[in-house]
Amino acid sequence: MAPEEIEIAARVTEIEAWYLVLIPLLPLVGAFINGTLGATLQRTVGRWTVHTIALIPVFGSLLVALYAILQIMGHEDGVVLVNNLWPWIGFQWDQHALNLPFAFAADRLTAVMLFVVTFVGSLIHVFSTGYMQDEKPYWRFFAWMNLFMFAMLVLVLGDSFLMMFVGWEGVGLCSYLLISYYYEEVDKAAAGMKAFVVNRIGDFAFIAGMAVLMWGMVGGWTDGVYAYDGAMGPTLVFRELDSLMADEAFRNAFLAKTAFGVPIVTLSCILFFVGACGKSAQLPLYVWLPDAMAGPTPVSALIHAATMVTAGVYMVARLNFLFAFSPAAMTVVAVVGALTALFAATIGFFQTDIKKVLAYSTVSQLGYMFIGVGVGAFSAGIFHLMTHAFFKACLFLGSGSIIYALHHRQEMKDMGGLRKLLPATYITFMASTIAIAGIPGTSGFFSKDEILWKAFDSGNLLVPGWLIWGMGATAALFTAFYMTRLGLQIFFGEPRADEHTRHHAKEYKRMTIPLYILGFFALVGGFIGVPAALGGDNHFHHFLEPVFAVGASNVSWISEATEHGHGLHSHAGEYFLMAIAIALAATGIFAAWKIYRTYRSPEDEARLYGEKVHNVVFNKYFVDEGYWAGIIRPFLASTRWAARFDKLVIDGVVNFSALATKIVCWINGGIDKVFVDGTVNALAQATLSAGQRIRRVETGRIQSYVTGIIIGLTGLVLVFYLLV
Amino acid sequence: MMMDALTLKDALFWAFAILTVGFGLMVTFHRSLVHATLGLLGTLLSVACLYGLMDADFVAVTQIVVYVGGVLILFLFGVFLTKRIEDIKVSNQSVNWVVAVPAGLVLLGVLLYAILSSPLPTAPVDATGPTTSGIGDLFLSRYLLPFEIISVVLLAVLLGALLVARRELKPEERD
Amino acid sequence: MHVTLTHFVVLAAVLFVLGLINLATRKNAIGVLLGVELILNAANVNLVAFSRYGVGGIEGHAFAVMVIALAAAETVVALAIVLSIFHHYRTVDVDQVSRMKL
Repeated sequence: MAPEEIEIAARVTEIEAWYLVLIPLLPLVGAFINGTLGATLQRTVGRWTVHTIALIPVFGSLLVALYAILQIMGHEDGVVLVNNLWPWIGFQWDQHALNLPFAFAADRLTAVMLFVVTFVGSLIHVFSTGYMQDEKPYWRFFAWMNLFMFAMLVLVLGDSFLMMFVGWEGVGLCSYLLISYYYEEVDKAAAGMKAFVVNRIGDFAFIAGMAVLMWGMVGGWTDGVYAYDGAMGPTLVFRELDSLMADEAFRNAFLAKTAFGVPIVTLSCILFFVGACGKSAQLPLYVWLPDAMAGPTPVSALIHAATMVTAGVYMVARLNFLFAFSPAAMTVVAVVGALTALFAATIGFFQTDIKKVLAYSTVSQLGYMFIGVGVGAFSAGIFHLMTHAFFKACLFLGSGSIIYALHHRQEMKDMGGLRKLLPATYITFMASTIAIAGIPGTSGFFSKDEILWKAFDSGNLLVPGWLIWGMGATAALFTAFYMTRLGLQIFFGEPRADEHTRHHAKEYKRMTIPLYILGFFALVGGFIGVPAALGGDNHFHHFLEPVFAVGASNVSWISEATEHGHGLHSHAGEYFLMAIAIALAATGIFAAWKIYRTYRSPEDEARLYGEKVHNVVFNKYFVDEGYWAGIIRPFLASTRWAARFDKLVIDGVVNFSALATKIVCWINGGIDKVFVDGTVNALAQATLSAGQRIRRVETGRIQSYVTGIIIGLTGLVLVFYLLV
Repeated sequence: MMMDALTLKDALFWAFAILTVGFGLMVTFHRSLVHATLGLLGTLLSVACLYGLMDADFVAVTQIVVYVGGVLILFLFGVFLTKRIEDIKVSNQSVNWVVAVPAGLVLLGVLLYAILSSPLPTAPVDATGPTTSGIGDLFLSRYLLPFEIISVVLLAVLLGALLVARRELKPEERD
Repeated sequence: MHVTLTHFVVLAAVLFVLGLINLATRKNAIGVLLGVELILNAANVNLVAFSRYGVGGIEGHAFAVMVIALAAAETVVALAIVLSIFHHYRTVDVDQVSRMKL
C-alpha cells in the first residue's frame, strides 16, 4: 500500500449507530398507519388525526437525523455511521463471494442529504396541511408523502448499490402515485404514467450498470486481464468499493478491463448516468418532469424540486471513486448537464403556467449540478443541490400559496399585482428569485459561482472547460431573465384576478411559516460555502473532503498545475469570472424588468420576439411531439404492421392450407362413405347394444367406484406378488 | 430378533399404534359424522406422537399445527354448516358394506403378505438431532421447484376456494 | 420384540385400508374426505418411517411436509366444493348428487 492510500483508509472510521434505522422507519410506520386506517380516521375522528400521524414521524426522523449529523460533525475526520441490520444477500461462485448486508450507513455526504430531505420534507409536510385541507382523500396524500420520505431516506442512507436501488425504485413509485394523485382526470393520470415509463428507461440502465460493474469485478469469461487477488471479493457496498479503488493493485486491474473495447469503468459509469438522467430529468429523458406538475404543488416542491430529482446528482457524487477514473464518462456528464441547463432555460422563457416555468427551471438547475459533479467538483455539485433545495422548494411552495389563493388557477393571465394580496408569499418568492438568479450574497450565487469557476478550471475533461463554462454562464443569464419575468408577471402590474377571488385570497400561518424559513435559508444558506477567493474558507467543501478523497485524487485543475495559477486560472481570474457572472445576472434582471413591468400576454410576446421563435420555444421545441412521431408512433405503427402481417400472410397460409385440407377431405369423404362406413356402422351397432347392457354398471355413485378401485387394487397386488 | 423386555420406546409405540388404529376404526365405522371427525382428531394426534417417536420433530409439529389446528377445524365447520345437527346420526348408512368391507380385508391381507415377505431394514439409523434446518436446506436447494410450485398451488387454492364457495348474491342483495 | 420398520409399515397399511373402506361406505361427502385424510396419513407414516430406518435420509420428512401442505390445500378446495354443492342441492349425500352423470 502506498502511503497516500493508508492515509485515506485511516481517515474513515466506522461507528456502529443503531438509530440510523429509525430515520427511514418512522415515516414508513406513518405511511402504514395512514394507508390502512387513514380513511377511517379522517371520516370518524377528523383530518387533524391524519396529519398528526403524518407529521410526528417526519419530525421524529428529522430529530434523529440531526442527532446523526451532530455525531458525524463531532468527529474531526471522516466518520461513517453504520447500522448493519441483517445479512441480506450472500452467495459464492468459483472463488468469488458476494455478501451484502441490509445496512444503512451515513457519512458526511449522506449527512448533507439527510438534512436536506428531512428538513425540507418536514417543512413541506407542514405546508401541505394548509394547501391540501380541502382535498377529499387527505389521508392518501399524507400516506404517500410519508412513503416517499421512507424511500428517499433509504436511497440516501443505503449502504450499497442494491439498497440505493430499493430507495431509487421506491421514490419512483411514490412519484408516480403522487403525480397522478388526482387520478380522476385522465391527463393527470397520464402524466404519472409518463413519469413512470421514462423513469423505467433510466432504472433499466441503473441495473445494467450494476451488472457491468459486477462483471468487471469478477473477471469475466473472455479474457484473463483480471489479475487482482486481494482479500476483498467483488462488492456492491460503496465503502468497500471506495477502499478497493484506493488500492493500487485492484485499481490497475479494474481499469484495464474492457468490454467491446470500452473500459468497464466508463461503460458502467455511463449506464449509471443514464439512470441518473431518468431520475434527474436530463436530456433526453427530461420530458416527464414538466408533465409531473400535474401533481399537487407540495409534491412538486418535495419530489420534483428538492429531493427525488436530485437523486441522480447524489448518485454521481456518491460514485465519485468510479466516475473520476473515467474522463469520458465525466465529459458525458458535464456536457449533458450543460446542454440541459441551457436548453431547459430557454424553454422557461415563454411558459405561461407558473409551475411549468419552475419545472423547466428545475431541469436547468439540475443541469448545473451535473456540470458540477461532471467536472469533478463533487462538493460544488452537492452544494448547489442543497441551496437549490432551499430556494426551489420555497418557489414551489410560494406558487402553491398563490395557486391555493386563486382557487387552483395557475396561469399568469389570472395573476398580477399579487404583492399586496399575498405579502408573505411575495417576500419569500422574491428572496428565492434573487437567490436563483445569482445576486451576490445569496445562496445561489455562491453555489452557482463555484460550479462555473470549477468548470472553467477543469483540467481532465475531453472538451475544454471554458466551453462548459460558456454554456453555464449563458444559462445563468437566461435564468435571471425568466425568473424575473415570472416574479414580475405574478406580483406586479394590474391585478387580473376577479373581484371575488381577490376578496377571499388569504394566507394561512401553516403555509407562510415554512415559506419564511425556506426563504431565509435561500438567502443565507450560501455562507457555509464562501470560496477562498472571497476570503472565506469554504467550510462546505472541506466538510465533504473525506467522502470525495478517492475521486478528487484523480481530478486535475488547471490552476493547481502551476504553483499559484496563471492568467485566468488564478484568484484574479476567479474574480473576473465572478464579475462576468454578476454582470450577466444583472443584465438578465434588467432586461426582464424593462420588458415585463407591464403584463405581456403570449400574443404580446410573440409580437415582441417574432412569431417563429416564440412558436418554437413556446411549444418546447416540439420535443414531445418529436418523441411521439419518432418513437411512440412508429412503435404503435409497428404493432399495427405486425397485426396486418398476421392477418394477411399468416392467416392466408392458414386459410389456404385449410382450403386444401377441405378439398382432400371431400374426396376422402366420398371414399369413406361408400367403403368404410359400412364396416363402421356395423361395429357401432355392436358397441351400442353392448353399451346399453354394460351401462347399468355406471351408477354414478362414488361408493361403487371406490369399491371397484379396492377390488382392482387387491387384484393387482395379488397378481404382482403371486404370479411375478 | 431378540425377545427381551419392552423398552419405553416400544411400549409407547404400541400404545400409540393401538390408539391410531382405534381412532381410525372410529373414523370409518362410527355412525355419527361428528364422532367420526373427532376420531380423525385422535388419529392425527396419535400419528403426530408416532412421528415424535421416530425423531421427526418438524413433521410432528407440522402435523399438529396444520392438521389439528387447521384442517380439522375446517372439517368441523363443514360438518356443522352442511347438516342440520339432528340429521347427523343418519349420515352413515350405505349399501356398500357387504362388498367394501370384505374387499378391504382381502386387500389388507394381501398388503400384509407383501410387507412381511419383504426384506425391510430392522435397525433405525442414529437420530441426527433437530431436523428443521435439514428440511429447510432441502426445500431451498434440491426441492426448490416443488416448494415454489406448492406455494403457487396454495395461492391457486386460496383463490379457487373463494370463488367456488362464494354464495351467489341475488341481484337485490348486491352492494 | 423391538419395534422395526415392519411395524410401522403394517400400521400404515391398516390405516390405508381403513381409509379406503371409509371412502367406499360413507354417503356424506365430508365423511368421504375423512377417509382421504386417513389415506394421506398412512402415506406420511410410511415416508417418515422409511426415512427413520435409513432409506432416503431426511428427504422423507421433506416429502411428508409437502404432503401435509397439499392435503390442507385439497381439504380447502374439497370443502369449498362441498359447501357449494350444499348451497345448490341442499344436501351433501353423494348418492343424490349424481347429476354430473349423463
